Amino acid sequence: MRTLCSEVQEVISAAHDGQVADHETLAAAKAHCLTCAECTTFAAFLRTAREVPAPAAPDAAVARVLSAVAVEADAVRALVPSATPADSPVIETAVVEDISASRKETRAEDNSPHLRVRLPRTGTEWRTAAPWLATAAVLVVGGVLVTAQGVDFLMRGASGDTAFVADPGAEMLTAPDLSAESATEGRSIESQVPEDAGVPTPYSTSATLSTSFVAFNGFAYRLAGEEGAPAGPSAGSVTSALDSASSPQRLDAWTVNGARAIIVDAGDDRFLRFERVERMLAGSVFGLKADAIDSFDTAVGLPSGIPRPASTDGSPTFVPAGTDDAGTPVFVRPGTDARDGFALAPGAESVEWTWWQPVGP
Amino acid sequence: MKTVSRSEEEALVAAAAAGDQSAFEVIVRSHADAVYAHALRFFGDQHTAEDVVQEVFLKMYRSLANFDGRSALSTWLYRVTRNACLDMLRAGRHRAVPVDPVGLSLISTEDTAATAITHVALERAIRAIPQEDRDALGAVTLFGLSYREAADVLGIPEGTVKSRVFRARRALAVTLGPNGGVS
Repeated sequence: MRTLCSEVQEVISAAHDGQVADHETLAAAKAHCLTCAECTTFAAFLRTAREVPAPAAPDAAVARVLSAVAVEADAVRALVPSATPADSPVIETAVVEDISASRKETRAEDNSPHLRVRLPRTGTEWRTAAPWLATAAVLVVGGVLVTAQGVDFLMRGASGDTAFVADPGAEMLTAPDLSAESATEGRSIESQVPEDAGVPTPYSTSATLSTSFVAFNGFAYRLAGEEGAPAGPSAGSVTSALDSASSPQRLDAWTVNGARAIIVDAGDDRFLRFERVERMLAGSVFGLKADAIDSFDTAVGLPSGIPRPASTDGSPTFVPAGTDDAGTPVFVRPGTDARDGFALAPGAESVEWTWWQPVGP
Repeated sequence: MKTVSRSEEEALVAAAAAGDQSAFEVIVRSHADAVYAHALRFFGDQHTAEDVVQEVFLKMYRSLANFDGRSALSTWLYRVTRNACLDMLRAGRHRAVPVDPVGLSLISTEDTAATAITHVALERAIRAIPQEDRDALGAVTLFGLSYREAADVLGIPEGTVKSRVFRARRALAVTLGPNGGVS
């Protein structure tokens, strides 16, 4: 293709999108086309291609979106009659994962890609779903309490700005809760949940169901607040969007207190403290294993190499193995000892099965 | 797909943020095709594309109250859709189905169902062009972004958007022939 033709065709392409630099340029391009079969053909191709419709979302997919939103809206409204979508982010992980799980079940049962609207649960399903519901209830009630103190505060962080949202009007806005004060509030949610909230809590659910996690050296760390700039060279890096919608970035990280916490350079003169997610069993500390966690709304699940159980009782991957020091039921791989590593069922720490590895005495 | 003006869109967003689900439904129906098409071209799998549609609009629903209208909703949606696809790919939850560009030449353009074949041929050809070119093309043709808006989202100069869109179209023209797959 000659240079002139290339330039003319680029002008034609831009004009096709209503992006004409100036009329003289366009007129020159048109004049060229009168004598150039190649450019005329290209222009004809654009006209032809424009008539071909782009793929359209199946009606069932749209219906599924609307159904999922209605479910979420109802869940929020049931507890907060005046709730609007602004109040709903606090429950999103539980609801999304529930919907996701439901979708997978539906797919596994039939080959119809469009039949995905959730059906009413049976009694057995309700019992099976209890951990999920407990998760949702804790998050919803916690969200209500936090919302009462200002959604805006949570969205903006302690300093009141939106530094973590490059363009708050043009991007997902589930900004991280950066303040130490809010982190404290998050940890105290459990104690504020009424015992008779109406939803069974088979596990010691807590605000650890928060999903503001990053992964560092194979373990999950939870956002705890802002921190001063660390000294010395970084110990490694984490890859995270530091919110739920942006693209992940590689961020320098420093270890604190024997890697029980890390300080992450958020890249905007802020340093964030994340604390390793831990549990005690038989007097030893276990850390939550995690592969990549690219964004804050990613639910921690089993690390690679450990298959997800096919059943809610953990089989065939796991068998029950008593409880940890907090009384939470733990599971192990058949033939292994919980002191070498154990799993927790969905609803205990995450909406997924999780795996815990010893990290110290 | 329904088309709404910018002012209508702002009113719809405000209504949806206030809890009006019918307003939210109008927004979804206005933009679902673009989200779906982008995801389908990204992954080449309709189930995954539907998952993206759901994820994007759930995120949108939860963020409506914070959408301040400084940019068009389509710009915001394109950004979220693109990120959702990239995140799903990075997370290993979904993989893009590869396309064999060589196989594209085997697509008949003389079939009696010319329109259907053309649609298939065009989509396959689009999936075969480089992602950066496809991104620019999709931003402009699916989401209706201007070159400047696309440049902002993609983090590249406006002139680069123009070049990538042209490069994409040029590749399609070469692949599909002078009639664009229409006999």
